[in-house]
Amino acid sequence: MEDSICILRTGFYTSIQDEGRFGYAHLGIPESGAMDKKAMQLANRLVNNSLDATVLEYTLVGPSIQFHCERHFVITGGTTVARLGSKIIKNNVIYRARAGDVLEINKITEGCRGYIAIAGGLQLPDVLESKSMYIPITDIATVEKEMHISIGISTYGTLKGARLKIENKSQITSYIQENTLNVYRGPEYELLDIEFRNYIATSSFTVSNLWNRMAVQLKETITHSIPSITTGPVIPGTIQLTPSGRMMILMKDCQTTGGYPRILQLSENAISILAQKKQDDNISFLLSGPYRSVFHDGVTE
Amino acid sequence: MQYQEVHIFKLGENAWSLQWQSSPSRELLQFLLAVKENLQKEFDAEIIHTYTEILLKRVRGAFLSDAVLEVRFREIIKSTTPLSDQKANIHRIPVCYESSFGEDLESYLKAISLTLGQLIELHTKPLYTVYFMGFLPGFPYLDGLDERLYIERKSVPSQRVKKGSVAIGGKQTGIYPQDSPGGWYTIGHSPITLFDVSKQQPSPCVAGDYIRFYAIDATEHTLLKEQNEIECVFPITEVYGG
Repeated sequence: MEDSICILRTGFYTSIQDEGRFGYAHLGIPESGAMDKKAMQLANRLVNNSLDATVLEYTLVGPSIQFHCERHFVITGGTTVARLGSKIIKNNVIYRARAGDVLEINKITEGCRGYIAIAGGLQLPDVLESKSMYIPITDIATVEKEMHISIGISTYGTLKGARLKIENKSQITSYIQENTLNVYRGPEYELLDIEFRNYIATSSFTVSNLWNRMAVQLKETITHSIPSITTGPVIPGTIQLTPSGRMMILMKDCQTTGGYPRILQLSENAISILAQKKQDDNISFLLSGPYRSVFHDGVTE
Repeated sequence: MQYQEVHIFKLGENAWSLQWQSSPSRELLQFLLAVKENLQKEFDAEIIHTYTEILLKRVRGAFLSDAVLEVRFREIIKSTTPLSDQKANIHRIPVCYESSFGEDLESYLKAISLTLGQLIELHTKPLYTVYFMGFLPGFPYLDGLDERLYIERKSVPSQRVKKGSVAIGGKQTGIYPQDSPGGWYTIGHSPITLFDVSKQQPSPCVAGDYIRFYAIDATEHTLLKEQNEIECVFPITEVYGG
């Protein structure tokens, strides 16, 4: 029988993700891909997969999976209560499962998204060059009960010294506790008045009940009179200001274009930090200096 | 040369936005497409455009400083001439303009004080330009709606606009490739497919193509719909000009 795992219980929102789907934005197709890229890459590195190998991403409550093969695996991201049979499983530690073993992942106690990387990676057919789940590109958005997923050939332990030694684990995973997001100016930042800019720079904000793979909306509202823009391109990490005065931070499943002013842009690292935030968590912004054009605006000679 | 005035903006760590102040037009579109083509020859990046903007994302392999990159972008824009606009595909899209197929048809006609006949005439007459795709996979942003058909978006968006719905909102008209929430007035329905991920080319449209709507009755709609359920039916495509 083919090496595989079986989903016994799906968890709250568990999907299959790789780095994402690139080269199709011109068709209006979102990037998708792991929300917390740092945790996903760490997981793959620990089991000697390529950094973009396909993993399971779970949210708040993890899945229960049965191994139908012997494999090394690791869980990373939000701190998770988990067991392999009767053994307690810790984050960022490599374990070996035997055929028949059940990995039972329960609540995430810190952060909100976790990753399971299995040596060899999850093997599924690509849809438009990616395995990341997104409807209607893939038929389903999350894994289903009793679904079997093939596992590739493990290269764990094949090379001496290939195992990553984590000297200081807390250093690698400390971003999960951070709540300051590094941001850059967005194309419409200039439309904000001084008061608004100060407010953004000095306030603490709260994640609202709208937080998913498409966007994280903040609770606070600011009245403003900034008009909508002609529909322009957006990418994960773009912060839009809605007409009702809410900041909407676009995440990995976001649309490719949007009509709300794009006031800020998160750094790559900040996207990983925000991917670990859930409703009522607090965040604040640290604005980096703008790239200064070597030209005066609009003058080319 | 036109369109030399461009605002260049670095978006985050790895993306660049090139923005023009000009109004959207078919001429500007042909220029943007030509700039995209020239940028793509030189940069390993994903490049998309909207009405007046080009975005390069995941700009890779650039050991160049930001300032050097910007200079290079400006040089490329300066040396670009618009694509010739002699030939383009026209996709003919059948639409059933009947109130059982467009749930907002009655309220829309009332709001803009036109008869159904007038609406059909004004909506099927133009050659709409596919400017770009966004919002949903395969959703074409069209240019060319007759201004007599402009209407403010609905104050309360519909939670579920059906796949194939043809709608008008603001100065735009469009067709929904899948079920989705939406704030435009649904005036009719098309039984054909606009996006199918299993096809080599999931969307029949590319930027610069034309779309023309034509009216069909309910019987024809049913027939086409049944056919589409058996095998995906894309719009009929003809070549325009040349």
